[in-house]
Amino acid sequence: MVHEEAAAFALDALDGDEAEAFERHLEGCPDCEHGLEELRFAAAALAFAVEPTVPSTSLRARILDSGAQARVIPLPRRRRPTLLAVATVAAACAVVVAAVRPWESGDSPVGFRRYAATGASATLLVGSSGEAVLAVRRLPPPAAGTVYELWVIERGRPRPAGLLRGPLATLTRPVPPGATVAVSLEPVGGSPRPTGPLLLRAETT
Amino acid sequence: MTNVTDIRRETQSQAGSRRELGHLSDEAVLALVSRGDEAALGELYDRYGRVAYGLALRIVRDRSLAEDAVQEAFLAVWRSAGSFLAEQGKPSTWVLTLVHRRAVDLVRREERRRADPIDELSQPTGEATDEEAWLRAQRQVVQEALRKLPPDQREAIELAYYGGFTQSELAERLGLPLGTIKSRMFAGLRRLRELLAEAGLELDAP
Repeated sequence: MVHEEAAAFALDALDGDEAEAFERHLEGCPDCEHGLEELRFAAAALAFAVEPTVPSTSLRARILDSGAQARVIPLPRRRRPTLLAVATVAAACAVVVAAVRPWESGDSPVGFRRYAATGASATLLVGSSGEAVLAVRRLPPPAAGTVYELWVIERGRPRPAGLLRGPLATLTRPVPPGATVAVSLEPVGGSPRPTGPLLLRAETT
Repeated sequence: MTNVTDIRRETQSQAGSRRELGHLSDEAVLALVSRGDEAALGELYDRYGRVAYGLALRIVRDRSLAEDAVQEAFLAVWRSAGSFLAEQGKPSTWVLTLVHRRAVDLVRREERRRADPIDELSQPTGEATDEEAWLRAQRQVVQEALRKLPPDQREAIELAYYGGFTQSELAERLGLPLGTIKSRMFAGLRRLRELLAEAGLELDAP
Protein backbone atom coordinates (compact mmCIF):
# COMPACT_ATOMS: atom_id res chain seq x y z
CA MET A 1 0.00 0.00 0.00
CA VAL A 2 1.52 3.28 -1.12
CA HIS A 3 1.35 6.10 1.41
CA GLU A 4 -0.60 9.13 0.13
CA GLU A 5 2.28 11.40 1.06
CA ALA A 6 4.27 9.85 -1.82
CA ALA A 7 2.38 11.93 -4.37
CA ALA A 8 3.11 15.19 -2.55
CA PHE A 9 6.74 14.09 -2.29
CA ALA A 10 6.89 13.33 -6.04
CA LEU A 11 5.44 16.78 -6.75
CA ASP A 12 7.93 18.45 -4.35
CA ALA A 13 4.91 19.70 -2.41
CA LEU A 14 6.26 18.80 1.03
CA ASP A 15 8.09 21.35 3.15
CA GLY A 16 11.58 20.55 4.43
CA ASP A 17 10.54 18.71 7.61
CA GLU A 18 7.76 16.74 5.88
CA ALA A 19 10.11 15.70 3.08
CA GLU A 20 12.70 14.55 5.59
CA ALA A 21 10.12 12.55 7.51
CA PHE A 22 8.90 10.92 4.29
CA GLU A 23 12.45 10.05 3.24
CA ARG A 24 12.93 8.28 6.57
CA HIS A 25 9.64 6.44 6.06
CA LEU A 26 10.75 5.47 2.55
CA GLU A 27 13.79 3.63 3.83
CA GLY A 28 11.60 1.08 5.57
CA CYS A 29 8.70 0.90 3.10
CA PRO A 30 9.33 -1.01 -0.17
CA ASP A 31 5.73 -0.38 -1.29
CA CYS A 32 6.21 3.35 -1.12
CA GLU A 33 9.58 3.08 -2.78
CA HIS A 34 8.11 1.25 -5.75
CA GLY A 35 5.00 3.43 -5.86
CA LEU A 36 7.12 6.55 -5.75
CA GLU A 37 8.94 5.57 -8.93
CA GLU A 38 5.61 5.45 -10.79
CA LEU A 39 4.41 8.72 -9.28
CA ARG A 40 7.72 10.38 -10.11
CA PHE A 41 7.36 9.28 -13.71
CA ALA A 42 3.95 10.98 -13.87
CA ALA A 43 5.31 14.11 -12.14
CA ALA A 44 8.30 14.35 -14.48
CA ALA A 45 5.97 13.93 -17.46
CA LEU A 46 4.35 17.20 -16.40
CA ALA A 47 7.59 18.90 -17.42
CA PHE A 48 6.80 17.96 -21.03
CA ALA A 49 3.49 19.82 -20.96
CA VAL A 50 5.37 23.12 -20.74
CA GLU A 51 6.68 24.86 -23.85
CA PRO A 52 10.33 23.71 -24.24
CA THR A 53 12.55 26.78 -24.30
CA VAL A 54 16.06 27.21 -25.62
CA PRO A 55 18.27 28.64 -22.87
CA SER A 56 21.15 31.02 -23.57
CA THR A 57 23.93 29.34 -25.54
CA SER A 58 26.36 29.97 -22.68
CA LEU A 59 24.45 27.69 -20.30
CA ARG A 60 25.71 24.53 -22.00
CA ALA A 61 29.32 25.69 -21.74
CA ARG A 62 28.82 26.70 -18.10
CA ILE A 63 27.45 23.27 -17.25
CA LEU A 64 30.32 21.47 -18.95
CA ASP A 65 32.86 23.81 -17.32
CA SER A 66 31.47 23.32 -13.86
CA GLY A 67 31.39 19.59 -14.57
CA ALA A 68 35.07 19.64 -15.52
CA GLN A 69 35.91 21.51 -12.36
CA ALA A 70 33.98 19.12 -10.17
CA ARG A 71 35.75 16.12 -11.68
CA VAL A 72 36.73 13.42 -9.24
CA ILE A 73 40.34 12.47 -9.84
CA PRO A 74 42.97 10.64 -7.80
CA LEU A 75 45.28 12.98 -5.92
CA PRO A 76 48.90 12.69 -7.06
CA ARG A 77 50.16 12.32 -3.49
CA ARG A 78 53.83 12.07 -4.19
CA ARG A 79 53.92 15.52 -5.72
CA ARG A 80 51.91 17.23 -3.04
CA PRO A 81 54.01 16.79 0.11
CA THR A 82 53.40 20.30 1.43
CA LEU A 83 49.68 20.07 0.95
CA LEU A 84 49.52 16.74 2.71
CA ALA A 85 51.68 17.93 5.55
CA VAL A 86 49.58 21.01 6.11
CA ALA A 87 46.33 19.20 5.75
CA THR A 88 47.24 16.25 7.99
CA VAL A 89 44.88 14.13 5.97
CA ALA A 90 44.18 10.56 6.89
CA ALA A 91 46.70 8.51 4.93
CA ALA A 92 44.11 5.82 4.32
CA CYS A 93 42.13 8.09 2.06
CA ALA A 94 42.86 6.53 -1.33
CA VAL A 95 40.96 8.86 -3.55
CA VAL A 96 39.98 12.40 -2.78
CA VAL A 97 38.01 14.97 -4.60
CA ALA A 98 40.83 16.97 -6.04
CA ALA A 99 41.93 19.86 -8.12
CA VAL A 100 39.85 22.82 -9.06
CA ARG A 101 41.94 22.73 -12.17
CA PRO A 102 42.58 19.12 -13.07
CA TRP A 103 45.02 20.07 -15.78
CA GLU A 104 47.22 21.58 -13.09
CA SER A 105 46.87 18.72 -10.69
CA GLY A 106 50.55 17.88 -10.81
CA ASP A 107 51.62 21.31 -9.58
CA SER A 108 52.92 21.71 -6.09
CA PRO A 109 50.78 23.89 -3.86
CA VAL A 110 53.39 26.64 -3.46
CA GLY A 111 51.65 29.97 -3.00
CA PHE A 112 48.59 28.62 -1.17
CA ARG A 113 47.40 30.80 1.69
CA ARG A 114 46.22 29.03 4.78
CA TYR A 115 43.21 29.93 6.91
CA ALA A 116 41.91 28.25 10.05
CA ALA A 117 38.21 27.56 10.31
CA THR A 118 35.90 28.19 13.21
CA GLY A 119 33.20 25.74 14.24
CA ALA A 120 35.23 22.63 13.45
CA SER A 121 38.87 21.66 13.16
CA ALA A 122 39.62 22.49 9.54
CA THR A 123 42.14 24.22 7.33
CA LEU A 124 41.41 26.09 4.15
CA LEU A 125 44.11 26.50 1.52
CA VAL A 126 43.57 29.07 -1.21
CA GLY A 127 45.82 29.34 -4.27
CA SER A 128 46.73 32.46 -6.17
CA SER A 129 43.83 32.19 -8.61
CA GLY A 130 41.28 31.30 -5.94
CA GLU A 131 41.49 27.51 -6.29
CA ALA A 132 40.86 26.12 -2.84
CA VAL A 133 41.12 22.96 -0.80
CA LEU A 134 39.42 22.37 2.52
CA ALA A 135 40.88 19.79 4.90
CA VAL A 136 38.66 18.78 7.81
CA ARG A 137 39.54 16.71 10.84
CA ARG A 138 37.15 14.54 12.81
CA LEU A 139 33.93 15.47 11.09
CA PRO A 140 31.41 12.67 11.79
CA PRO A 141 29.89 10.97 8.71
CA PRO A 142 26.69 12.76 7.66
CA ALA A 143 23.39 11.22 8.75
CA ALA A 144 21.62 8.97 6.22
CA GLY A 145 20.05 11.01 3.43
CA THR A 146 22.32 13.98 4.00
CA VAL A 147 25.63 15.29 2.66
CA TYR A 148 28.08 17.96 3.63
CA GLU A 149 27.90 20.76 1.11
CA LEU A 150 30.56 23.44 0.61
CA TRP A 151 29.75 27.11 0.12
CA VAL A 152 31.62 30.14 -1.04
CA ILE A 153 29.96 33.19 0.53
CA GLU A 154 30.68 36.49 -1.11
CA ARG A 155 28.96 39.68 0.00
CA GLY A 156 26.51 37.62 1.99
CA ARG A 157 25.53 35.45 -0.97
CA PRO A 158 26.32 31.74 -0.62
CA ARG A 159 27.04 29.77 -3.75
CA PRO A 160 27.38 25.97 -3.85
CA ALA A 161 31.00 24.80 -4.14
CA GLY A 162 30.70 21.02 -4.18
CA LEU A 163 30.33 18.30 -1.58
CA LEU A 164 32.64 17.26 1.22
CA ARG A 165 32.82 13.49 1.04
CA GLY A 166 35.92 12.84 3.10
CA PRO A 167 38.62 14.66 5.01
CA LEU A 168 39.71 16.65 1.98
CA ALA A 169 37.66 18.42 -0.68
CA THR A 170 38.50 20.80 -3.45
CA LEU A 171 36.00 23.57 -3.98
CA THR A 172 34.30 23.58 -7.36
CA ARG A 173 34.35 27.36 -7.57
CA PRO A 174 37.17 29.79 -6.85
CA VAL A 175 37.40 31.59 -3.55
CA PRO A 176 37.92 35.33 -4.10
CA PRO A 177 39.79 37.39 -1.47
CA GLY A 178 37.55 38.28 1.47
CA ALA A 179 35.09 35.46 0.76
CA THR A 180 34.00 32.99 3.43
CA VAL A 181 34.04 29.24 2.91
CA ALA A 182 31.46 27.29 4.88
CA VAL A 183 30.02 23.80 5.20
CA SER A 184 26.44 22.83 5.96
CA LEU A 185 24.48 19.59 6.16
CA GLU A 186 22.08 19.25 3.20
CA PRO A 187 19.76 16.62 1.73
CA VAL A 188 21.41 14.17 -0.68
CA GLY A 189 22.13 15.86 -4.00
CA GLY A 190 22.91 19.13 -2.24
CA SER A 191 20.92 22.36 -2.19
CA PRO A 192 21.23 25.55 -4.25
CA ARG A 193 21.40 27.59 -1.02
CA PRO A 194 22.28 26.43 2.50
CA THR A 195 19.25 25.07 4.33
CA GLY A 196 21.08 23.67 7.36
CA PRO A 197 23.21 25.60 9.86
CA LEU A 198 26.78 26.44 8.85
CA LEU A 199 28.89 23.87 10.70
CA LEU A 200 32.19 25.54 10.01
CA ARG A 201 33.37 28.80 8.51
CA ALA A 202 36.73 29.93 7.21
CA GLU A 203 37.09 33.62 6.44
CA THR A 204 39.72 34.65 3.90
CA THR A 205 41.44 38.00 3.51
CA MET B 1 24.13 18.98 -47.94
CA THR B 2 23.75 20.64 -44.59
CA ASN B 3 20.23 20.95 -43.32
CA VAL B 4 18.75 22.98 -40.50
CA THR B 5 19.02 20.14 -38.00
CA ASP B 6 22.74 19.79 -38.62
CA ILE B 7 23.27 23.50 -38.15
CA ARG B 8 21.33 23.51 -34.92
CA ARG B 9 23.19 20.52 -33.63
CA GLU B 10 26.49 22.10 -34.57
CA THR B 11 25.68 25.21 -32.59
CA GLN B 12 24.45 23.17 -29.62
CA SER B 13 27.51 20.98 -29.49
CA GLN B 14 31.01 21.98 -28.72
CA ALA B 15 33.08 23.00 -31.70
CA GLY B 16 33.81 20.10 -33.98
CA SER B 17 32.03 17.39 -32.00
CA ARG B 18 28.70 16.49 -33.57
CA ARG B 19 26.26 14.39 -31.61
CA GLU B 20 28.22 11.16 -31.81
CA LEU B 21 26.42 9.79 -28.77
CA GLY B 22 23.03 10.40 -30.36
CA HIS B 23 22.43 6.69 -30.96
CA LEU B 24 22.88 5.70 -27.32
CA SER B 25 20.01 5.11 -24.87
CA ASP B 26 19.60 7.53 -21.99
CA GLU B 27 20.89 4.83 -19.64
CA ALA B 28 24.03 4.35 -21.71
CA VAL B 29 24.64 8.09 -21.83
CA LEU B 30 24.19 8.30 -18.08
CA ALA B 31 26.63 5.42 -17.58
CA LEU B 32 29.20 7.44 -19.53
CA VAL B 33 28.40 10.50 -17.42
CA SER B 34 29.03 8.46 -14.28
CA ARG B 35 32.48 7.65 -15.64
CA GLY B 36 33.29 11.32 -16.04
CA ASP B 37 32.59 11.66 -19.78
CA GLU B 38 31.91 15.33 -20.43
CA ALA B 39 30.63 14.74 -23.96
CA ALA B 40 27.98 12.46 -22.45
CA LEU B 41 26.94 15.22 -20.05
CA GLY B 42 26.64 17.50 -23.08
CA GLU B 43 24.54 14.89 -24.87
CA LEU B 44 22.20 14.56 -21.90
CA TYR B 45 21.89 18.34 -21.83
CA ASP B 46 21.12 18.42 -25.55
CA ARG B 47 18.35 15.88 -24.99
CA TYR B 48 16.65 17.44 -21.97
CA GLY B 49 18.06 20.97 -21.63
CA ARG B 50 15.16 22.67 -23.42
CA VAL B 51 12.49 20.78 -21.49
CA ALA B 52 14.42 21.39 -18.26
CA TYR B 53 14.81 25.09 -18.96
CA GLY B 54 11.19 25.47 -20.08
CA LEU B 55 10.10 23.84 -16.83
CA ALA B 56 12.42 25.90 -14.64
CA LEU B 57 11.37 29.10 -16.39
CA ARG B 58 7.71 28.20 -15.91
CA ILE B 59 8.29 27.86 -12.17
CA VAL B 60 10.75 30.65 -11.35
CA ARG B 61 9.75 33.11 -14.14
CA ASP B 62 13.20 34.58 -14.33
CA ARG B 63 15.71 33.61 -17.02
CA SER B 64 18.75 33.86 -14.83
CA LEU B 65 17.22 31.92 -11.91
CA ALA B 66 15.94 29.30 -14.36
CA GLU B 67 19.45 28.85 -15.74
CA ASP B 68 20.80 28.52 -12.19
CA ALA B 69 18.27 25.76 -11.51
CA VAL B 70 19.18 23.87 -14.69
CA GLN B 71 22.91 24.29 -14.12
CA GLU B 72 22.71 23.08 -10.52
CA ALA B 73 20.57 20.11 -11.53
CA PHE B 74 22.95 19.01 -14.28
CA LEU B 75 25.89 19.41 -11.91
CA ALA B 76 24.05 17.14 -9.46
CA VAL B 77 23.61 14.67 -12.34
CA TRP B 78 27.34 14.85 -13.04
CA ARG B 79 28.22 14.25 -9.40
CA SER B 80 25.83 11.45 -8.62
CA ALA B 81 25.08 9.63 -11.90
CA GLY B 82 26.77 6.51 -10.53
CA SER B 83 24.56 6.23 -7.47
CA PHE B 84 21.47 6.91 -9.58
CA LEU B 85 22.30 4.11 -12.02
CA ALA B 86 22.22 1.66 -9.12
CA GLU B 87 18.59 2.61 -8.48
CA GLN B 88 17.45 1.78 -12.02
CA GLY B 89 14.93 4.55 -12.50
CA LYS B 90 14.49 6.42 -15.77
CA PRO B 91 17.27 8.96 -16.40
CA SER B 92 14.87 11.54 -17.86
CA THR B 93 12.63 11.27 -14.79
CA TRP B 94 15.61 11.74 -12.53
CA VAL B 95 17.02 14.72 -14.42
CA LEU B 96 13.66 16.50 -14.49
CA THR B 97 13.03 15.65 -10.83
CA LEU B 98 16.31 17.36 -9.94
CA VAL B 99 15.50 20.39 -12.10
CA HIS B 100 12.06 20.65 -10.56
CA ARG B 101 13.37 20.45 -7.01
CA ARG B 102 16.01 23.13 -7.66
CA ALA B 103 13.48 25.42 -9.30
CA VAL B 104 10.98 24.97 -6.47
CA ASP B 105 13.70 25.60 -3.86
CA LEU B 106 14.64 28.82 -5.65
CA VAL B 107 11.11 30.07 -6.13
CA ARG B 108 10.16 29.40 -2.50
CA ARG B 109 13.11 31.48 -1.35
CA GLU B 110 12.41 34.28 -3.79
CA GLU B 111 8.68 34.38 -3.09
CA ARG B 112 7.88 34.56 -6.79
CA ARG B 113 5.22 31.93 -6.93
CA ARG B 114 2.35 32.42 -9.29
CA ALA B 115 -0.38 30.15 -10.43
CA ASP B 116 -1.09 30.74 -14.08
CA PRO B 117 -2.60 28.00 -16.22
CA ILE B 118 -0.17 26.22 -18.52
CA ASP B 119 0.05 27.62 -22.02
CA GLU B 120 -2.01 25.80 -24.56
CA LEU B 121 -0.15 24.19 -27.43
CA SER B 122 0.50 26.74 -30.15
CA GLN B 123 0.62 26.00 -33.85
CA PRO B 124 4.08 24.99 -35.06
CA THR B 125 5.94 27.64 -36.96
CA GLY B 126 7.99 26.50 -39.92
CA GLU B 127 9.47 23.06 -40.33
CA ALA B 128 10.02 21.02 -37.19
CA THR B 129 13.05 18.81 -36.65
CA ASP B 130 12.58 15.22 -35.42
CA GLU B 131 13.30 16.25 -31.88
CA GLU B 132 10.93 19.18 -32.01
CA ALA B 133 8.22 16.96 -33.43
CA TRP B 134 8.87 14.42 -30.67
CA LEU B 135 8.73 17.07 -27.94
CA ARG B 136 5.54 18.44 -29.46
CA ALA B 137 3.93 15.02 -29.47
CA GLN B 138 4.95 14.43 -25.85
CA ARG B 139 3.48 17.79 -24.94
CA GLN B 140 0.21 16.96 -26.59
CA VAL B 141 -0.07 13.58 -24.84
CA VAL B 142 0.62 15.05 -21.41
CA GLN B 143 -1.71 18.01 -21.91
CA GLU B 144 -4.49 15.70 -23.06
CA ALA B 145 -3.97 13.44 -20.05
CA LEU B 146 -4.12 16.47 -17.77
CA ARG B 147 -7.38 17.56 -19.36
CA LYS B 148 -8.90 14.16 -18.58
CA LEU B 149 -8.28 14.51 -14.86
CA PRO B 150 -11.12 15.61 -12.58
CA PRO B 151 -10.72 19.42 -12.32
CA ASP B 152 -10.05 19.48 -8.57
CA GLN B 153 -7.27 16.90 -8.92
CA ARG B 154 -5.79 18.73 -11.88
CA GLU B 155 -5.85 22.00 -9.99
CA ALA B 156 -4.01 20.56 -6.97
CA ILE B 157 -1.37 18.95 -9.19
CA GLU B 158 -0.78 22.01 -11.34
CA LEU B 159 -0.55 24.40 -8.39
CA ALA B 160 1.92 22.11 -6.67
CA TYR B 161 4.08 21.21 -9.67
CA TYR B 162 4.08 24.42 -11.71
CA GLY B 163 3.34 26.86 -8.90
CA GLY B 164 5.76 25.44 -6.35
CA PHE B 165 3.22 25.52 -3.53
CA THR B 166 3.51 23.10 -0.63
CA GLN B 167 0.53 20.96 0.32
CA SER B 168 -0.07 23.10 3.43
CA GLU B 169 0.00 26.29 1.38
CA LEU B 170 -2.45 24.73 -1.06
CA ALA B 171 -4.82 23.75 1.75
CA GLU B 172 -4.76 27.31 3.00
CA ARG B 173 -5.08 28.85 -0.44
CA LEU B 174 -7.99 26.64 -1.45
CA GLY B 175 -9.59 26.67 2.01
CA LEU B 176 -9.60 22.88 2.23
CA PRO B 177 -8.38 20.38 4.84
CA LEU B 178 -4.82 19.16 4.26
CA GLY B 179 -6.10 15.60 3.96
CA THR B 180 -8.25 16.61 0.98
CA ILE B 181 -5.25 18.14 -0.79
CA LYS B 182 -3.16 15.03 -0.15
CA SER B 183 -5.92 12.79 -1.51
CA ARG B 184 -6.43 14.92 -4.62
CA MET B 185 -2.74 14.96 -5.44
CA PHE B 186 -2.43 11.23 -4.86
CA ALA B 187 -5.52 10.21 -6.82
CA GLY B 188 -4.69 12.70 -9.59
CA LEU B 189 -1.08 11.70 -10.01
CA ARG B 190 -1.95 8.01 -10.00
CA ARG B 191 -4.67 8.58 -12.59
CA LEU B 192 -2.23 10.65 -14.66
CA ARG B 193 0.22 7.74 -14.58
CA GLU B 194 -2.51 5.42 -15.92
CA LEU B 195 -3.54 7.86 -18.64
CA LEU B 196 0.07 8.27 -19.76
CA ALA B 197 0.53 4.51 -19.84
CA GLU B 198 -2.63 4.16 -21.95
CA ALA B 199 -1.27 6.78 -24.34
CA GLY B 200 1.98 4.81 -24.52
CA LEU B 201 4.08 7.69 -23.26
CA GLU B 202 7.80 7.05 -23.01
CA LEU B 203 9.94 9.82 -21.67
CA ASP B 204 13.14 8.81 -23.43
CA ALA B 205 14.22 11.13 -26.20
CA PRO B 206 14.27 9.44 -29.62
